[in-house]
Amino acid sequence: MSGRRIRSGAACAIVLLALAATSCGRQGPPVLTIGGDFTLTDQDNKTFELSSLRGKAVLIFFGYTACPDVCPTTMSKLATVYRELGADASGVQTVYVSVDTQRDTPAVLKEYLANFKSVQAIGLTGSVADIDKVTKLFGALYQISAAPGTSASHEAYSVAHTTSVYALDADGRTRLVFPYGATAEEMTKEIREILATERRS
Amino acid sequence: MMRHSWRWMQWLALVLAVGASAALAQAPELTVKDAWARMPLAPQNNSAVYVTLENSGATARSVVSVSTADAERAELHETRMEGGMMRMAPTKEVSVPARGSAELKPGGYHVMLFGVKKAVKAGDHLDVALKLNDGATVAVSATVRAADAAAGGMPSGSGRAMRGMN
Repeated sequence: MSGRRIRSGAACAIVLLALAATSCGRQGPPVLTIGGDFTLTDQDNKTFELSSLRGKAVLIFFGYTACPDVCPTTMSKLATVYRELGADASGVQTVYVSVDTQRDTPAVLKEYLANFKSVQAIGLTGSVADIDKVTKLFGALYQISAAPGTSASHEAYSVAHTTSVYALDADGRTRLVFPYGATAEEMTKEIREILATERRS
Repeated sequence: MMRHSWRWMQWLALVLAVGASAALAQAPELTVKDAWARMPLAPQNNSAVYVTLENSGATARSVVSVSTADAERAELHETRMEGGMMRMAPTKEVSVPARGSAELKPGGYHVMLFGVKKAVKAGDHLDVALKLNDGATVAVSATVRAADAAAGGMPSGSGRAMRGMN
């Protein structure tokens, strides 16, 4: 019985090798060299370890809560993805990493993410050094620029940032980078592929 | 008889002239279509207004400033991809070509609203005024969409060109 399993495993490995150049459903999209584990502070002011999400496909997005255009566009697109995933959405966790450490405290992140209930993202913040470590891991960029005409009630600076969504498999390996222009439909399809990928262990 | 008819024609010409100029003044050269606003997102309650402007006139127009009573501040912004990052910055104007249109849409131009003061729910309206380069003002009443509404959802909204308000 177990010998048979090993043999069929070996046969699968050969098939996988043969198909390595093309695509194999269980193998999933190619593993990218960017990414890695990190530790930040979540919206409940607790320490968050990316490794705690092993077993789930993870979507990582870098943004800031005062962002009126790009970030809400991406968040509402993710809401559509979650709706389209249906029951499979339980295998996916979105992580919203703020690149605006000054304004995005855990409390601000918590209130902001409540606007997107269907996504149930984990909001992460930390020191500038902590955030820089994470953006470096993923090759993401951000730049804070002071805006003219700052009013008393609003520190009206804006933050330029990478708008890609990074998709990780259940083993925490980065599999895909969705550009800003990716549609919800495309994302849903590819996330399903990641969900169907066989785990390493 | 001849004299009478001449006077009548003068009258007719006058009526036509007055009518034509009135029609010209009222013609909505710049019309507003599909105006919508993002649900203001707590805690900052920032929002963005998107709209399509159609210019039926023979002259290019441009939006040079924006204002609103519904938020603490409004600014005309442009988002663009630059060096691998999306950068949002105030922009001086959005031009609407003659017999053409301009689109304020996600990832492009938008009216940024800082700190919306009005409590709104999906379907309510946020009002902004667009000031044009010729001094005219266009009123835009943007329908608020739910935060997690599908990005490609049905746009709705209303607004019409109003000239000479300022």
